[in-house]
Amino acid sequence: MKLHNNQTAALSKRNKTIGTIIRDMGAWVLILPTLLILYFFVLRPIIVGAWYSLHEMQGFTIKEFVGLENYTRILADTQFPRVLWNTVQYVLWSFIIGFVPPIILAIMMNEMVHLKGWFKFSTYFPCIVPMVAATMLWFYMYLPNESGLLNTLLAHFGIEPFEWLQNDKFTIPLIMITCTWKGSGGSVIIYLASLQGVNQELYEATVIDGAGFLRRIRTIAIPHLSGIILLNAVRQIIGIFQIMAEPMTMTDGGPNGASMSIALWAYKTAFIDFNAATSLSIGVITFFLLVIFTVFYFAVQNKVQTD
Amino acid sequence: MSKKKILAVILSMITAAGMLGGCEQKQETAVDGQITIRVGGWPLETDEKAYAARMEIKEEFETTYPNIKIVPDEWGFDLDTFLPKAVSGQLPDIYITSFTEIKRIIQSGYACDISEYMEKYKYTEYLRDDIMDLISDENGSIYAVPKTSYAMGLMINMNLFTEAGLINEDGTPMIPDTWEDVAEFSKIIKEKTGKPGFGMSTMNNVGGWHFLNLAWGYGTNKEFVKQENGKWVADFATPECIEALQFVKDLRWVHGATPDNALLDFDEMYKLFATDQLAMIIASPPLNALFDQYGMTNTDAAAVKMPAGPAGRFAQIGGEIQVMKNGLTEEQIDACFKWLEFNGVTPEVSEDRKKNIDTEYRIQNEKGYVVGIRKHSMWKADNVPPVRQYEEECIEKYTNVNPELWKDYADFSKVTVVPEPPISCQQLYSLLDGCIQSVFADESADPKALLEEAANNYQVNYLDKEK
Repeated sequence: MKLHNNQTAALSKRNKTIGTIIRDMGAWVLILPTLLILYFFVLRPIIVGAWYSLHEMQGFTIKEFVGLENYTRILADTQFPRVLWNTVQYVLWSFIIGFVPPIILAIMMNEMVHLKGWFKFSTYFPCIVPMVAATMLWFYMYLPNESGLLNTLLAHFGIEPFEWLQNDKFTIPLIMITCTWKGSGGSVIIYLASLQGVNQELYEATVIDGAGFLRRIRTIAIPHLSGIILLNAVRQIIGIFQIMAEPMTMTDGGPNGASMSIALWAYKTAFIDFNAATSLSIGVITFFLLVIFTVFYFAVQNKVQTD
Repeated sequence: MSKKKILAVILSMITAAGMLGGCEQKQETAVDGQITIRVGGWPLETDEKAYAARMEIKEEFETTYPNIKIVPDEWGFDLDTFLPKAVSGQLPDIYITSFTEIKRIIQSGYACDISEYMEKYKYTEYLRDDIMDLISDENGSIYAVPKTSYAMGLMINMNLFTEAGLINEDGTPMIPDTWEDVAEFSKIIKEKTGKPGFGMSTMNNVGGWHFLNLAWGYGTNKEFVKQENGKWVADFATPECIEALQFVKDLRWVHGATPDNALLDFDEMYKLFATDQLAMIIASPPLNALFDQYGMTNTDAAAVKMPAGPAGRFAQIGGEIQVMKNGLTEEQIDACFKWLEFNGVTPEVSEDRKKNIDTEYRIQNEKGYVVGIRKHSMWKADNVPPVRQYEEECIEKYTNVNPELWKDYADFSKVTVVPEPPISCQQLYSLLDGCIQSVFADESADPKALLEEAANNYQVNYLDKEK
């Protein structure tokens, strides 16, 4: 009798499951392309890469399981501390140079009455310029001789030409200026969209109460944006930590490794040195560092959504 | 079954499909005795003359060998795309690259052992020993067919030399015989034209690669490494190499000889040279890219042998090679060699194939490349193959420049040609790139400290890990 009951329960459960599948079929079909893309371009490379990084490889063929040997090689590499510190510097400079301007621009545009459309376009325009074109544009502006645009400007004021990218103390900040110019438009749009969700009556009430521009910003705009600001901060850390194309096209990691980022180092290790296993190990180390930030990102996102 | 389980099942299925999708492609096999080979470096259709000539050779070849089909592939060797193509089995069956690339291709397992065929087609009989070393692994197996070879030299922009008054009465350029002469000439050029006299690329490993010529001239160990107790030890943080790097630094800061840009890549350097913005560069003459891509006229350039340093005159050897991808069948390898033979690349060229060599030189002439200089020979001096002799006839026939402007470079009797260092040379070049960038960018840079740091990095990160 008990057995019969169990069979009936199992049958009913299976029917329920089939019912669920049939009911949700549309959703599964819709989600399948995304799952496939996620699997082939994100999940599988991560899993296979992590597995390969535990092997000695010839080209991209695994030869022998070596455990963590590739990781110990990376950690013992004399370039690793410098490259990691460079990458941290990219993140720090991205905050110093690139974090506040989009907030200011968004607030300005939100307050504007005239020419708002033109400002929106001109702020977002660099985002649609191809990355290589944007970096080459800035590379030529930074040229250290008289033909560099910035040095031409300096010459007008009787100032000697500056070294720009070639001065290793300034290479990373100058690359970050390029990244800020190229990428801040997206952040501005996010902040502006958020600001435009503020109830206008709040603004009007503060104006009636005699609050000036700065006070409105401090008491309404900033508190309203605080969640998005935090979210963008985490996204910026994750994004800048993987910076590669900008230093690659502007300095190739130079002068003498001063702008070598961890992603560019991994690229060169794989494609110039043909050392795939070591490159994959660098990738896995970066992955784990970014997982920490991503977990934090989701926590922040949940908080923002809850608020 | 919960939704999570459904998701897990779907993901598992995708994983299985993905794993199958990742399986290595199998090499095309001959069907009914038909052999197909994919030949890389095929001219683009837009390059009408070269394309038409190559298609004509293809047609003739397929008529002569009806069982072999040639599939044109326009891919030319490029580091950014090489590995993905190699891994996915998409490399052409035979393609052209340079001597500098072959070691890493062999080590990665993507080149085919062609030792047997090199003997069969008599390359081993005629090729010089140093060239054989460059294309072989440590066990003596051969992995590439040399196409051309060169010794590096110094290329001269004739317009700037003329403007600076550095021209002899017979119209030939005055020759900077030593590196000190290069500095002196640069001062004159700067004074008379306002343009930098001497340029070195400093990026993408080219700076280090070119610096070897200077370092050897100052007496640095030719291999940059030595063996101690069976282990490789870096051997370039030496007084001789430091002196060479100091000279490079002085070129920038004392003589004002070099461009202000310390981050100069190959293309940028070519551009400066081709547009009369730079007077002298280390290069592998005749450097046809200058005339092909940057609009320079071939009569505006000249070449002289590599300047000498206190320890002598040394020039690095290089050139083009043809590599066959790993995994080809015996029939395909033989078909590739037949294709080379048909194009007149084999040492013993037959009478009826000579016309293909003739066509190659005619096209070079028509495209405005430099024809008229005897390149450094990859063949043994005491056993010159028929192909070299016929090439000389073609050069004579299609000369389009004043040979006097290239004569000094082509006299290899006064130059010691040296192959690149035996171990991790790309990594060495990369580290030396950094040293050159530093001395060009920073007036206070210390060549001794830079080379010591580079030697330590080379030792710890690469040499110590050699098995």
